[in-house]
Amino acid sequence: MNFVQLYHDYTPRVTRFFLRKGVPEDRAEELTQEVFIRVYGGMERFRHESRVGTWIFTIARNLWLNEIRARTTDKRQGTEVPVDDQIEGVRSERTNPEDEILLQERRRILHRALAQLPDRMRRTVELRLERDFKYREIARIMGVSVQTIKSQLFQARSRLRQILGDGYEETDAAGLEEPDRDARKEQE
Amino acid sequence: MTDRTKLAGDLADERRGSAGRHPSDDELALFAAGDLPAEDRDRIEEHVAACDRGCGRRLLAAFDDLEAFESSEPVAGEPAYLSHPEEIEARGRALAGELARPSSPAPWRRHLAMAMAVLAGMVGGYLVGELLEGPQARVTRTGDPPASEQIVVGDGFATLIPDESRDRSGRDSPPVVADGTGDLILLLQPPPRADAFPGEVLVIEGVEDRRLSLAVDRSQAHERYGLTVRIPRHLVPSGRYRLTLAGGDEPIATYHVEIRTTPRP
Repeated sequence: MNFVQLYHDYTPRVTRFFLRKGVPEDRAEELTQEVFIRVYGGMERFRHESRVGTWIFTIARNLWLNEIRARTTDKRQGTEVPVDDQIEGVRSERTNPEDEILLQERRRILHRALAQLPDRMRRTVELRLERDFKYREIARIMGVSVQTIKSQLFQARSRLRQILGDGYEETDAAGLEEPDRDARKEQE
Repeated sequence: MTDRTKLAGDLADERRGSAGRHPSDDELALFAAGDLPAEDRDRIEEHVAACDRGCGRRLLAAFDDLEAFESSEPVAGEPAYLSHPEEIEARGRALAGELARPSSPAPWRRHLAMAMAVLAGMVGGYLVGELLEGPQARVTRTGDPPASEQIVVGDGFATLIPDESRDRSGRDSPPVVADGTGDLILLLQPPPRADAFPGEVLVIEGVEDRRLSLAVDRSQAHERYGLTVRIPRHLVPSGRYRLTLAGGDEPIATYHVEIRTTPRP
């Protein structure tokens, strides 16, 4: 692995990465230099468990994350809001405790049904129902096409209906049933 | 808390627990790049599906970052040298030379950083204007001992040793020299008096008993970053040189360099 070659091949990508992230030009160049100082220092230890480009990407990205974390810390200026207070605020906005219990019970039943689905199908459903990701986002995470995600969710709905039998409620899979709305949103 | 709510809470905890620890930033980046082993990929997929602490969003951000990294499209206002592979390579060699010295002092890091910025502020940085051989030429080989600082050029082609260099106010102001594409690239720091910079002429003394005067191309200078001068390698063989940046008859800054040829490793 030749350092000068790596520098030659990856400097444009690294610098442009920082610029795309809104880093000022001067700082982008400093960060680029820092990336390659780390590359130089890590070349002997690099075991080719990932591609070289991925390795350089992770270095650049970590520097960028450190950069934005430092900025965030600066902006905070020491004012912190206790987490407990925030949680309490959210709790007070919830529906009444009885509804909350019923909702949790329903979710428990649904989770048990989901556990019977094949792993990847279950994850797809969870990402949609519980994490509220768009099809496009789920497809990215799962490394498949949007069409495959739609197909999996369609099949999952049928399976859940079979598993839950009489206990199946349309609301259980409500989040799976609105592909048109999502498609419109994604087109926007 | 009722038994039922406790049960629901336990189930949620159980699921979070089974999904394992939150993945690191590196793991998410590797996942996005498709460079994780199948087992780790499966673990992270499972975690992201179960995690209610935002790991899914972190992973999507990693995908976005990878896309930003992999795009080869130029960015508006980017440094001009990004479109000049030979300039990039020269910088790479200069940096490699700098990093090859374990006792690299901090000031050289700064000089190098500045040098990096120099080319950013300028397009090209090519040989300044005309190359003149002064009729009144005289040799000025500097008699100072070699400086302890040196840049070892990455290809082992030449060793370039910046000697002590000062501007007229006495500020230490060494050049950074890179040997990239058969040319020498000198990156001269601007002196404090920006109004005088970059001057009109760069005089190179000690070139085989001659004196070379290069007209300064002011378009290749930046009051903050410096002046880039590219000199064909064959014009400056091994030896010590004094470079004088001058405006009219008045010297603005003097730089000393020694060029040593070393065998390729």
